[in-house]
Amino acid sequence: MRGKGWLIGIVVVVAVVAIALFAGRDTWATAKIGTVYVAKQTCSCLFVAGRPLESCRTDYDPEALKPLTVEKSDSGVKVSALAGLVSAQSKFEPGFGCHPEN
Amino acid sequence: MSAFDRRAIWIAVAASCCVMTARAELAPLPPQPADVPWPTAEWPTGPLPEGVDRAALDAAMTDAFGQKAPGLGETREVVIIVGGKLVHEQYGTGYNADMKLVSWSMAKSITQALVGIASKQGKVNVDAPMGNPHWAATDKQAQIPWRTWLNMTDGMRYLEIEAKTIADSDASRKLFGPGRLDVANYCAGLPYIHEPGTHWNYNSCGIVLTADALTRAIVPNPESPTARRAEMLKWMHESLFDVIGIKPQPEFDASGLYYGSALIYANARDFAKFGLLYLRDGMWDGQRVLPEGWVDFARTPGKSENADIYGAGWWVTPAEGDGKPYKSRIDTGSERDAFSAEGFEGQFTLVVPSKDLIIVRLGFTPEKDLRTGAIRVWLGRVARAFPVSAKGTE
Repeated sequence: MRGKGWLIGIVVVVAVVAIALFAGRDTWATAKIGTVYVAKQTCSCLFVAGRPLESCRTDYDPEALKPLTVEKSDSGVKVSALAGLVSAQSKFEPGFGCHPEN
Repeated sequence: MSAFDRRAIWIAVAASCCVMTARAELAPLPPQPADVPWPTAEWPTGPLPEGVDRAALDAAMTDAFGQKAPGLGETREVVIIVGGKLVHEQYGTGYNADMKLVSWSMAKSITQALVGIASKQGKVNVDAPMGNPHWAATDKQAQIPWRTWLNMTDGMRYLEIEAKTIADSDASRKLFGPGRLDVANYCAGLPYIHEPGTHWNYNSCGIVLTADALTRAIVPNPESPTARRAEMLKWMHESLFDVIGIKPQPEFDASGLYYGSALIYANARDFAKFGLLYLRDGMWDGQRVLPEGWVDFARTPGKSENADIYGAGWWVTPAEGDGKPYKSRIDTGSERDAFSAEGFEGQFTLVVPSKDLIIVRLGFTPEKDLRTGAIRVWLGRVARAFPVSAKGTE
């Protein structure tokens, strides 16, 4: 019985991990795409359109922006999420606009 | 005269009749009034023309810039051109006439123009297969002509309008997901589920691949991605932007490819000049910029069994009803002749030949509001405030 209990326990743990990974797959993919999106579009908003950062922030759903940290540099924008586990940088090149760097 | 000659003549006559019939269905494009200068340097301005419903126009602008009308979102720039003159422009708080805003998919219409110009220059044959270095010569997609890509009847399995999540959307994935560093490479790998030339599906990747093929035609052997984009941008300026006096900012991915399907930044006045190029049938200040028939190609639905709302790089008014597979008609009046460049979040360059009218609206209308169709209703209200022009119906 004790051996069967361990087996059941392992199966349950594997199943929970699998379900968590499956359920989190979209969240991870969305976080990745979301950070690149905000980094690229905020870069263009700042450097191509010439809008201030506060104005650029109105281009996004405020709830979607909450978990993101947006940092502006002299030549681009870096955005991170999930405590830095996911991040994206976009670079501005005069005459050619912005593009994702990583 | 031999039977063969008579048959050849009959076929030629029949074909020309068909062409004339097809063309006859399109509204005539009004010429530039002789007393109105072309706006290459700056827009000539004028008062609202006689016959405008000022109350309706004022109400529409109040709704747009007051941000209280449901479903419109934030309107940032509006420019209205009638008879080649700027008759109304308005900007939201924090925006101005010089500010370049994002085109999103209005860039597709610019790509359509660039392909036409390259065709006129003899650099591409739009009736020949477009091809891509990622495909074998025997691949079905390698046989698809340029025109079919521009009509979006290529048959690619591409998901954008009906995507349920960001992670599912090929639009997001190509620009900001796995395709972000080499957009054309992502697009070239998508599968095909319909016979080319039979089924319409909104396909931004098809336009990315078109931009890629065009860039290879213009810059065949670039030394580097930076050289590729610099040479392409130079050609864009010499062939189109400088000719009509616009200063847009196309953006480029890390491979040096201009995105083609999106991400050109320009102000509303410049988008209006681009609209004027189409309203004037590809002519600009005495010079033919687009090939003859290229604007008609843009505003004629491609061959497909499922759609009547898309021409080539431009959205068109369906012959009847509100459009299939999407209700996209902008009700500009009974003439049903409008066509438009359209972009995500409510970017529009609307061209109405019968009214000699162009309306540019740039702004931020969130996806949930776009689905209500309110912004299209608003554009229709603005257009219907203007009368049919005598010149527009010549």
